[in-house]
Amino acid sequence: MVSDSALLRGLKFGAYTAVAIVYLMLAGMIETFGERQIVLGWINLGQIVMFVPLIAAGYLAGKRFDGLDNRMLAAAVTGLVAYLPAALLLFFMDAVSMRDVFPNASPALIQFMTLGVEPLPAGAALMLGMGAVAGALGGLMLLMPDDLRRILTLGAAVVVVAALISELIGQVLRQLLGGRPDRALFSADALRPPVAIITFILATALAYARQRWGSRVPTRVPGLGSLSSGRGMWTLRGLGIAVLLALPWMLGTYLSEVLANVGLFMLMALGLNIAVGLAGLFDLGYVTNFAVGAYLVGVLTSTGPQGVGEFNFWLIVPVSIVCAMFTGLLLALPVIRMRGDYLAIATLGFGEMIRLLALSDWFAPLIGGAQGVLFIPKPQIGQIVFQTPQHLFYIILVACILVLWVSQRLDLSRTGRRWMAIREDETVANAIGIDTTWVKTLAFTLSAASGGLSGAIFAAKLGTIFPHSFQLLISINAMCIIIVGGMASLPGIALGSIVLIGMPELLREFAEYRYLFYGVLLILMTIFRPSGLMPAKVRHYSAADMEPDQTPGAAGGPVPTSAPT
Amino acid sequence: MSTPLLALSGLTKSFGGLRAVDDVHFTMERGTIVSIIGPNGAGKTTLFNCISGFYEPTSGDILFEGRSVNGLPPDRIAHLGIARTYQNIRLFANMTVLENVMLGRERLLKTSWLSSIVGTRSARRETEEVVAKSLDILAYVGLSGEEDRMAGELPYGDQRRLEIGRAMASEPALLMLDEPTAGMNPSESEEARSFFRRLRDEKDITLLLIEHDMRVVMDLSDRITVLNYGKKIAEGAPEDIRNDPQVIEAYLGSEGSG
Repeated sequence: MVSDSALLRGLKFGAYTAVAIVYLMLAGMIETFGERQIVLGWINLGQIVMFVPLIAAGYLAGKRFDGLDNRMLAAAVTGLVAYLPAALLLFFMDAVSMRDVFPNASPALIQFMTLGVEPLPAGAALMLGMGAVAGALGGLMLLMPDDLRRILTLGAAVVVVAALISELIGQVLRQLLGGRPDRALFSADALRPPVAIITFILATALAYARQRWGSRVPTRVPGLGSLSSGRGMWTLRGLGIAVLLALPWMLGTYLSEVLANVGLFMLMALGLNIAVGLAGLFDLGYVTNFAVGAYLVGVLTSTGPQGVGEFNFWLIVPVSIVCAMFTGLLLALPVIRMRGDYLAIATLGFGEMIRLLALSDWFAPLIGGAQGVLFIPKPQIGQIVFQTPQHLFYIILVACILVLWVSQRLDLSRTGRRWMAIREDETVANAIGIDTTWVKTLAFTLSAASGGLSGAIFAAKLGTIFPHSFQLLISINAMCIIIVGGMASLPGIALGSIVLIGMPELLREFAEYRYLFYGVLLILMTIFRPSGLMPAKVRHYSAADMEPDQTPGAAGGPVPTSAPT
Repeated sequence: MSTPLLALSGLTKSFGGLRAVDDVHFTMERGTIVSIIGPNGAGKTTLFNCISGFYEPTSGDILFEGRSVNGLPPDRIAHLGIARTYQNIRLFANMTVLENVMLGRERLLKTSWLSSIVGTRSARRETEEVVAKSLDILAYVGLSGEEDRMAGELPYGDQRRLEIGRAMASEPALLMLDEPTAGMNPSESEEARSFFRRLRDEKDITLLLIEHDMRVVMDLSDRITVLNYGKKIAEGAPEDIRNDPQVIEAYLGSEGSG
């Protein structure tokens, strides 16, 4: 039985998708991405961007229904309707030049969308057909068992990501093996078809193996302690650090620059996480602390006209941390009693104030106004100058580990519990005896300290700082990393920085659409994974945290599990 | 006579023109169970909120163990040994059961953030101690084995137990319970009553209850205070209250006396 509701649902989902498709076309994304091959000669990024939304929408539209015919109807109608406005748009573009308003509405776009089929009506019909097929494909995915679908989706995603980071993979291979081994895998940044197939098979096989056998291995073994407390964890950590230490030399200068940027943003996000993630204080003025740290290092170490004293970088880092803490404290005082949105708006103001102050004529004699501070020397230890991104990465790494360590210690401690209680219900937290004002101020201040530290490193890394380096976007970026990665989740923040900072830099095609990508990602995250890519784990006060022999209630008590790492 | 544990003298709280609590005088002795009853909107919860420091009284004084706690912030009041529960349960829903109880012990903890970062021996020992004590409390309120669950996932009855457990964790002298048996069936309510008696007898906690269930009130209370429109209209032992014409009128309307 085919029902009207299936048709209606198809129309509805199709209409939503159609809006997205038309937008993607006019914004020029389809064409730009079309130049990036994913699997050589088979598929490019533009096609993926065109088809994946249809498959997903077809899948979602069909999901509601039980019968095969209803599902397929809803899914196929979704796909068809999704392309209908796009097809009409092609006719319109063909008849009237829209390029004054939409420079991307070009004949090349028509050619891309119709796969070069002439004349236009035939091409448009082909396009609609493809739409229906793509939608129906989404409907077909509903027929698969959940596990199979997950594995196949993962396999496909791995292939796409592998192609997207081809430059990274190629660079690592060149460094490790010498010669040009990457040429066997990639051509013009795209995977060669056999390689793509092998990658897909390997990824699905691994995913299958993990599903089949991985879950049998108990992760919680009562009474045995956990990996995180044992020697295993330390070996793992040691290994991780060894890889991190070797990383800049495997990646070369350009990719190390990307890596250093990822690290710097991770450092900022980790610092902001103390306020936002751990204590739930929506601080949008984080850039203030960053600017304080950067300008202190700038002015006090610079050898240029704005320089005062030409002090050593290492001497100024603690100074900038302390000063950032002090500004953090100062700014916290008036707003500390505000909650939620009010706090966000008030701190937002601080962020703008610091930029305008830096730009103002008032401070110009001291910090250079719009001219900024120039000639900030690179940090130096003895004879070693941290000149290149490879060198600077190590400073960032050490800073990240420091902030990570402090955050984790605090998160698991009494202080972390108090912060989380405030995040959950400030009134009750206060009533059970928590001095909320003090504890919130502490979160602000420690967060500011990390902001100051990252600002200091930023100044030394760039060598020059300008007021426009300290825009609201810095705070927003750090906030996005936390939201996408996972509030209060330290591994989540690491992942978030890689996804939000690293990926756009690797994919030059993305650069122009970076904030579009952020917006879409944030919307999708809030709908489908509101607690982030890697949500914070539950804290267990057990073996991981204490001496094993003194674990209270070891028998029948809390089950020892891995502590958040 | 020794100092009463809690004494209110002329306590008044106005919201604009409304006198939610109006010139209430009230004392309670250590080791007793006292109930506050009254129709909806009589000012019972407002009275609790004044005692726990959420509201600053408009006038009058609150004495706890003989010293004025008037106008102190809630955390200071908690530190003196007053704990409470809420009419609409307010747990830290996204924290574990164990963490909720550990947080209840906040007033007895000393570890500073710096010693937590460094991981000093005393910080570690305090954590161990808090965990052990909290597990004991969970056993006492009947939630053994639930410690790693999210507080928000517990069934309603267990959430009530946990909220009392969190309040108990601070080892309070005075525990204020806001409608603790709301939503319980008769056998659960019976169980709750014997639990409250045990709290007083074994843990030496004085209890102040807001309660609607007359069976609970009459069975449990040493003394009862009746509020209506913010004013205290009666006070006394359960049997006096049961027969007080003013109380009957407040509850049943003028028909009762007319």
